[in-house]
Amino acid sequence: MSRATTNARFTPSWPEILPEILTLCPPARLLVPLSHRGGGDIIAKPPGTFVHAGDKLAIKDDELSHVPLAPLDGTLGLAREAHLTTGRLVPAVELMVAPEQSPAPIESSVVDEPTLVGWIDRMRNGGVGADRIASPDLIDQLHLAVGRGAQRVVCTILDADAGMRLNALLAVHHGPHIVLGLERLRVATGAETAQLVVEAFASPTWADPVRKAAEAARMEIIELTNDYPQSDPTLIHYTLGAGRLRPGASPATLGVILLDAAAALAVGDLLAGKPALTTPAAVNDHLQHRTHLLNVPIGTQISDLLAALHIPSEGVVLRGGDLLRDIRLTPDAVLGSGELTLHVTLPEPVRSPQPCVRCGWCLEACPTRVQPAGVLEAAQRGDYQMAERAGLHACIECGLCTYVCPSRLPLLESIRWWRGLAADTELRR
Amino acid sequence: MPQVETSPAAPPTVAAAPSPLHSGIEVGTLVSLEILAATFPLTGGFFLFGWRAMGAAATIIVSTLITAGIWCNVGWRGRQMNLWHCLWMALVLSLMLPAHLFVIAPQGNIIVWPILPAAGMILAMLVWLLGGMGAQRIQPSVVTLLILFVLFHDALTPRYVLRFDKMVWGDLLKSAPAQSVTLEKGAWMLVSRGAGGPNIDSLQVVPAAQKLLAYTSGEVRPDRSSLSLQMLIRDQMPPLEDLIIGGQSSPIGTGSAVVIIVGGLFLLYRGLIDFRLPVLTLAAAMACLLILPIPVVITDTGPEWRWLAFRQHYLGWPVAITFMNYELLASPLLLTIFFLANAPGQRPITRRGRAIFALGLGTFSAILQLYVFTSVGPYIALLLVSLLTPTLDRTLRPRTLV
Repeated sequence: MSRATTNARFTPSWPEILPEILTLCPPARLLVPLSHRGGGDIIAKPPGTFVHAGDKLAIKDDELSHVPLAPLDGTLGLAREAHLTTGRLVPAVELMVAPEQSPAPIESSVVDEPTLVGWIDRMRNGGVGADRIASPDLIDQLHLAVGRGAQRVVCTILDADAGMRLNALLAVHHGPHIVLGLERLRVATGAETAQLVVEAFASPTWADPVRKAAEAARMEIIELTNDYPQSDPTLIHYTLGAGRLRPGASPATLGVILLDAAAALAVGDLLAGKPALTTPAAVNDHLQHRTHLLNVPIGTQISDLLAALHIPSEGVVLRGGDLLRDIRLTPDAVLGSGELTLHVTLPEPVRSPQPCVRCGWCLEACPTRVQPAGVLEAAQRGDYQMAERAGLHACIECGLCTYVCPSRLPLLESIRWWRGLAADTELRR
Repeated sequence: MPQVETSPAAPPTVAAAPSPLHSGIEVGTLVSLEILAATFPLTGGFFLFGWRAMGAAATIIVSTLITAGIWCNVGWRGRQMNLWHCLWMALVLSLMLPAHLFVIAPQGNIIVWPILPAAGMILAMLVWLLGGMGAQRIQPSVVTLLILFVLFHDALTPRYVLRFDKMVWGDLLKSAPAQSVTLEKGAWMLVSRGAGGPNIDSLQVVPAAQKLLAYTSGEVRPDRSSLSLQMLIRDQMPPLEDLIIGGQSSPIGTGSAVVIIVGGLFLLYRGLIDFRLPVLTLAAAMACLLILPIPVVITDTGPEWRWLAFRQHYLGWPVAITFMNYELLASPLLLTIFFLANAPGQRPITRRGRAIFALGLGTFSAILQLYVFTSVGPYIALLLVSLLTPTLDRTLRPRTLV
């Protein structure tokens, strides 16, 4: 029997046989994001231009984002907009993948850069960038660190879903590269320490490779119980005693550079002379109860990915990132620097919410002690101050309140509604 | 370049899957679990008070549901009514009433049979009036009980308990007179067997709550020159195990402390109630029962009141703690803290609010049951502290992490 309330602790499962990260057969067409941020004055190369893997795709790029690189050989198509797996709309360019791919260039190590600014340029030109919940905008963090410095660099190897241990698996297979990338970031930012946050109670098969690499580099290893949503930056900061990070704020404002294993690996690979042309991804097929761990070219559309996995993309609900965050995606969204996990579920039957019974479970489940029912009530009354008093500013949108609410109230929706309204108001100003 | 697996996938066959974004615990589940928990004390009542207990509970439930079925069609308040929730409250109300009300023949000069159907009707109307689940700031079943208590105080006083050998199937009203058996001389399980003769099913017993109130309010007149607290406990009160396991006249749901605690632990295990509330309420009540002034001795000239009775050299800790145990077990405090005080809507939603709520409930319960009514003191206390809940919710907001 399950308990009535839950903090959504996923069953720890550490299979002794490590799953393989497969490589996706290149799709016929990619939609490569030109930036991970919306807006920016970006000019793509003209349509019809043939590019080789690793070539730049833009004549003028966004200085606050990574430089877009061609993941594969192919011919450029039209520039258009695309949704990332974070739900953000960004400029992108079509790439018709050539049937014959030239051999991969010989890798050569990157020469050390003396300054952080030089490192940022090097990373941008290598296509390295991450902008997702567990690994906030890396380029932006480094830019902020230029002015104010950083005290520590933190890499989290925590996966929200026990069935999709993508970060853990990357750490198993590429532990030394992750540690290398992290250590180099520490040196570049002038941080005092580099910390590796790993899951407590992980089986030795999974935990040992990265631990050994970290110990060899004399890196600090921190073990945490991975209760969802522990990998959220706000909670990681609080748990590590790194200060109180407001949701949405850059960790660099508190002197921390925060990234996940995938981002650290991209940095480590770049140091080995390998630009970021592919991205790891995990697909949880809830229809057939299967999980796929893959390496896909950046710019792969979800519809192509699902087709390759024999998962229907029509008549299903697609969500990016942690499932409970309920970030809905369309099949034309593309994989890039955004969320790396994808959930495919059947549409749920629509259920009308019942009146709030004041059970207080939403408050008990909330990791940041927001009063979600109060925010919803404020939304119904149109009282922004009341929403603020209920803790709107502290919400990390983990979705636990909606998960536990026995009345099925749209608590997360009300919080997003307030934030959308606040953003619109800000824009109008 | 290795490719992904290309084995053809089976088409999805599940038509409507449960949402992975929800725990699956809904209001209906919540209420059904509460109903399930309430069956523990109800079963205890069935064992101790026989078929009349079941009849009384069934009458209240049927009456409540029929009335609620009518009232749920009346206005927007009616649309907020949930019949499962009404069932739960009817069940709770039946736990608070004595089983001897389930009778057709008049009891003395009073016709008591309409009390149970009327209780159900009043309850349903109060549910309509006070709003649906979660909107009720005061518990309708408690208000119903207090209305009945004011109107039919004597009829609501429990008087009977089945003999041990007549449990479950005995008739509560086939009783031996109070004078014929003295249960104070031994535990109910031992002395009630065969007591009163072969045609007798039950025994008339003065409730422990009544004896305690008569003493703590200073109204009792001693048979001899004086009556001390020690003498009261030694000579007049039933053995403590009769209150813990069962065997005293009481309302249906409060006859056995053990079954109430088991029901409460079930609710705790399923995460429906907050453990802080029962713990803090009991702690506050225990502290107050030890501290508040009580008569340490009653003489012909009147009671001798003392604060901190345990500090009297002729009483000490053992007597004071025994007295405190009697007070806790003779009153419906356990039923209140496990089944009533934790109801959504009545309890505050913040931890600090709940702590204050619990301390207030414990303190008021102790005061009311010492000096006003032992048998309904905790109910009145709950009613009073429930009125503070909106203020506590408003003023004691949780501090956010950032």
